[in-house]
Amino acid sequence: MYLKIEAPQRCISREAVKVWRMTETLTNTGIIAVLGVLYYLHIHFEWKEWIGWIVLALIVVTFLTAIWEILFKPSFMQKYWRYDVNEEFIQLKYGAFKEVNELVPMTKVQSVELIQGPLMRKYDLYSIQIGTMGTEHVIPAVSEKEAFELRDQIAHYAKIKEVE
Amino acid sequence: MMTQPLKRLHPLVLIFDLYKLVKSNIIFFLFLFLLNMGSEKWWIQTAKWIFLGYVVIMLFLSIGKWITYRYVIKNDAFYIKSGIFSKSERTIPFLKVQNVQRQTTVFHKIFKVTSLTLETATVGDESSIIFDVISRVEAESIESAVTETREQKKIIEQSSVGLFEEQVVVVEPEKNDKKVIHFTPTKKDLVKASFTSLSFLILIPIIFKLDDVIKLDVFRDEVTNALKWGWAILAAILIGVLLISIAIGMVHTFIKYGKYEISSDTQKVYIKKGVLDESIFSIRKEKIQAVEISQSFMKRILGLAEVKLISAGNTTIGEVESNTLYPFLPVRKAYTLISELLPDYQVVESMHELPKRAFWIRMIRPSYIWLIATALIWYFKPSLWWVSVVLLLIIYSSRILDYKNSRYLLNQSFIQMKTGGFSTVLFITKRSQVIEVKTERSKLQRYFKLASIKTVNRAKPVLHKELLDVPHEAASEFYSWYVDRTKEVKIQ
Repeated sequence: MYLKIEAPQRCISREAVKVWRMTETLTNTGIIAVLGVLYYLHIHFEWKEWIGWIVLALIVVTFLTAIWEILFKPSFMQKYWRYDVNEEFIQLKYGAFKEVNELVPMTKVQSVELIQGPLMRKYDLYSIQIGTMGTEHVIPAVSEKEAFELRDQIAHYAKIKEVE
Repeated sequence: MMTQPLKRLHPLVLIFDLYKLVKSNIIFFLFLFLLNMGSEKWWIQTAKWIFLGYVVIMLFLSIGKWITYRYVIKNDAFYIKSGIFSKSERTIPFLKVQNVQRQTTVFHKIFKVTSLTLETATVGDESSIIFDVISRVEAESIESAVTETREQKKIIEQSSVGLFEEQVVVVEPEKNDKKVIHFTPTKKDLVKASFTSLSFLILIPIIFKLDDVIKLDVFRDEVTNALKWGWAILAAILIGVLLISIAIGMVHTFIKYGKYEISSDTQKVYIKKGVLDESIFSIRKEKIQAVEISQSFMKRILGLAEVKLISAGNTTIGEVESNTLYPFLPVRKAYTLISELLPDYQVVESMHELPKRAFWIRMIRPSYIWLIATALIWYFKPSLWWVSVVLLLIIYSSRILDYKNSRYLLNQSFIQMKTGGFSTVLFITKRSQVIEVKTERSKLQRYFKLASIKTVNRAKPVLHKELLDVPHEAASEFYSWYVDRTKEVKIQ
């Protein structure tokens, strides 16, 4: 679609889907458990009726979003995420329903950070957080080797600064 | 050069601190020592002691700060040593200064001094260098130090690049101190301003306050009497009140907007304003990140506009925004002013409109505010159904107006985006000042072959601008336009 610069090609690791599924399962189970305890307390201590309704509604909503977040969202995300880095720009492209293209000049990059949660460690994945003068971008879940390469590459290119 | 002595702040800073201390604690003082003068209550007594202790500590702190705070200018940078208990040393290169603000309040006028604030783009408390009190001579010399060293650097840099091929000989830049005044409001401008800002309405809350205090009901008999006297007198009274409120509004406007002066020299733009408390905002032209021309609904009717120069540093002193060129400029004047102040900014008035399909997408895009509001009304108070209808009407008329007002243009290295329904904003920036771009296509937009474009600029807080529903091709052109910035920016 965009002529002057080639569309980004590099993908997110396939393992990411598993990690995201697990993370989402854990967090959603946690939330539902807390809500369940609340509902139990509500019945046990005979709280006001509307509290019960709200808690029930929250449980239903969490359950529905959990289905989306665990079963569908991770594979969509992995399928549509693309990124690329060259001397001049960082390009990001993502979103199944809303397609987003981002273009960040290397000269404006202020920091690169690798982040790894416990589940990601299991699969040797890192997410790369890129800080610019005003915003922050995250490339989620890249394999260890690629992540280190990418970080060094960005750090190298980003040394160059524009005259303000 | 390295052995320059460190300077202290002007000793009047101490008086200024005292003045601030008194100003912010006067209510406590009155409460404790006047209203409860003879009180023997134990907690009033303790509060009095605590208050006195607080005042004494504050006084000592401000003296300690004054003694320990020292600064010097060397190698095109500020060095500041400060701290009573924990010491700190800061270095701020002049290149990082984004804008300079000078405020001369009544206090400063009495002592023939001024205040100076240098703003950098850093986040946090350390982002500005503040001289609360400084002699006018020193302020002048600091400001010119910040400006001039840079000028020399620029010359050296440009001559090495070869842009100055023929004029390399002219190392000493011509003294460009000739300030040109571009705008000062005339009486007519002020009258217009006072009507646009509706400042004559300030009497209304005062009347309501009066009503609270002296209960205007007492006058009910007089009013009924007056009615007997006839409408003529009542009308006269009303007109009288109206005239008084207009007069008050004018005075208010005059104090706020009366002494505006927009001027520039080859390097900087200066905005001076204020009658009692004067302030001067100055910014180097190349530090201007973007220009915003905004028109409220009222201003659009009267053909006025407000022009703002976006800076990467703070642009407010207290609550007053200081980066606004006069807020009630006639539109035409606004455009000429921009081209006079910033010769390399070319504002083009004819821009691309959105395609017809952008109108239809706006008509079918769901409005979540309306849906939620309607659901709430339907559930809680169905008798208020008309609110939902009115809301829908407002939302749709705003959307239609937004479709009509939206414009965009990529003009060489500039981008112009105009958005807004009832009030509009025209945003102009250079691609070298845009720090990143984004395009977005939702499912709906893809169906209509439309996309949204977004820019991010440095400012405090960071400035995000977006234009919805431009044609696909325009978004793609926008992307390649941004890629070309690499040809323009100079690398350090």
